Amino acid sequence: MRTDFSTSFTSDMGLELAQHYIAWLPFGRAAITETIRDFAATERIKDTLGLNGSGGDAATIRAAWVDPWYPYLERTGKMIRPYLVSLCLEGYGRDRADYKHEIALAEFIHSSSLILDDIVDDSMYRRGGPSAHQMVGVLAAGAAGSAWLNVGFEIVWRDRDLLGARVANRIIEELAWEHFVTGLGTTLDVTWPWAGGDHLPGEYLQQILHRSASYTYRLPLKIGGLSAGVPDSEVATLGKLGEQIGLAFQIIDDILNVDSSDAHWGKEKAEDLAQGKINLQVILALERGNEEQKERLSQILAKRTTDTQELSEAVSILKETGAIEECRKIASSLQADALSLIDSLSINETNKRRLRELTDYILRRSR
Amino acid sequence: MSQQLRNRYRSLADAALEYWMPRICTQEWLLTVAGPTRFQWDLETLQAGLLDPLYEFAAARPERLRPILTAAVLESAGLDPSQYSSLLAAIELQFLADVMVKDFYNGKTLATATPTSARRPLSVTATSAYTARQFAPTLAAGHSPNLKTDDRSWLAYRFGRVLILAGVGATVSHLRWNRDHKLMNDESYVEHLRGFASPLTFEICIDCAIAALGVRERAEFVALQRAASVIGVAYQAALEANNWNQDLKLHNADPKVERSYLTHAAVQDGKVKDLRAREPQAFVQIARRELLAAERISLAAPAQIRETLFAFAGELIDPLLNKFAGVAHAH
Repeated sequence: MRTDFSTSFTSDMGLELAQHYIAWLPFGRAAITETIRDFAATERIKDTLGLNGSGGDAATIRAAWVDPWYPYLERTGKMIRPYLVSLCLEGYGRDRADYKHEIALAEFIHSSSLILDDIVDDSMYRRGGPSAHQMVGVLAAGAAGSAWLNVGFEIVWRDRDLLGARVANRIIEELAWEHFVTGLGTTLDVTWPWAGGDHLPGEYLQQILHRSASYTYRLPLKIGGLSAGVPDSEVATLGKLGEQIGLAFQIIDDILNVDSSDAHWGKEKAEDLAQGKINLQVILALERGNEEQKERLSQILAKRTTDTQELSEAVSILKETGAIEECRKIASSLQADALSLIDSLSINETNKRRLRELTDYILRRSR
Repeated sequence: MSQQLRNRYRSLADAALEYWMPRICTQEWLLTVAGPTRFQWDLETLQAGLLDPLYEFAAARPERLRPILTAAVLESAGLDPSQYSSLLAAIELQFLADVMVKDFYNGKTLATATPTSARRPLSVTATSAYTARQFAPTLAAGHSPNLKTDDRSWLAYRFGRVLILAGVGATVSHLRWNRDHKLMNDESYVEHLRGFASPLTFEICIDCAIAALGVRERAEFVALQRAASVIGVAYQAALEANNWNQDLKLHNADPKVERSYLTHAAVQDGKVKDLRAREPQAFVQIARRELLAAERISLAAPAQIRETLFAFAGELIDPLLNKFAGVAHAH
């Protein structure tokens, strides 16, 4: 696995957090490499999949299962999800070295979900390289992505003795639930552009709760807490924390898409508007705007235009109706709640501080 | 199995499907399966994007073979199948999702991949399939109160395993036969099906019964599991034989459409030694051999459950095999 990633993005982190995180990175990458080796090395893959005596040659199986997905792991730099799992474990007094599989699992799920997202969005590129379905086709990429998405069941069941039955059962239960509700959230996301219709702010928030917040923050925090063996009440708090971070992150992401003053911001300005995406600021603008503003905004969205003048007009409507400002307030409120939830956790103070700083870093999004 | 019994099991399966994945989306259903609603669900969109596509396929494939087998096995083991509706639904949802996924062929983008029913965007149908298949593990883990906790987890893991194998198998098939044009012979064909197709075919049905009975480590039930797996291969082979001419006709009409790996243009490739270039009788023989193997493997299995499994297999597979001239009965 690559080790030559730039850590320049850590300049936006607090110093102590950045130092801890940079020191952690080699461990995180090793956890992923070792977990892949433990489950998907050519000499072990048939055993992992229960294919001894069937399934054909191991090399083809590995090529089918690992190759379409591995580039996504190779290209990853930040590994925030496995870092969250690790922070939880250390925060509850566990030795992260004993939970490499569970730490890696958070990244496996995240990378797999990106493959599937790229198919649905028909994204040509991901992290500087071709998307998986561009490389191997939709069926092969989707199949491999789906297979890796579900590898958590295999990993946790095999780690049952390490984790203990109660913990393993709970992680399996949460994995199963998260996969399903993410399907519900994704259904809303892909169906809205086709089905049309008006939407409510609560409907958008419910969608991103189970689309944006699930694999990115809620599940990693739950995996960390569950692996550490904390009570379900604490796991519920961790889950809620993940939701607040995920919701705030998406709302901020949506704002930055149309209103970023940062030259480093990587996306095309107003890309979401050009794609006709319905998000919270659009919904609020359509609720609050006068008839002229509503009609004009709806027209521009329906056109899926890249005309800069029209896009600027749409952005102006979002601002004039106060929609963007309201979204900023909502995001701030979610962030404040996230910090309050961190305070309530029974994690040790050092890792509480790191969690606070990490939350702040994720939501500041200056680059 | 009498028609009356079969109808009863099918009714249970239909009722299970409609309870756990209803035709009409309601807040009550979402509360049950997704937990307390934090904000607000868009029921109309879930209806259009999840349930409507799923029920189109459910209506097109009303056989409910797998939940019927599961119900029959549960009852032969002394359990009331109506008390295991989540498992009946889970099995059928994974099957329907598998059918939905196979309904489009491999294109570089979703836009070029074509479903046979193209009324709605493929991304919507694909996501409906994804959600249906991912529902199975949570039905096992979270909605099966009659199972012990450890057995619920084990079954969820087994459903997850089916998903892994289905995914890997689809890609292996694509690489091995479509891309690499390897020769398919009896051995490689059976190996492939045993590894990747049989877990979803009938093995998972036995897994449900094993979990319900709490007997996952008992050797006689492992034997039953293996037998069901092998019967699944026999069934797939029998289907291939029966669909051969139709599949070839469809394939010849449009060679880009991959109906099954067996209708790949082996004849056009000139690889006459390939299994795919042989007469469908080859698959009949494979099906027979697998059925005999299943009988041998399952000798130690509990008698009543074994009898139920083989009665089901006979009723399903024998008619498919008997269509071929000079073919003796499998049993």
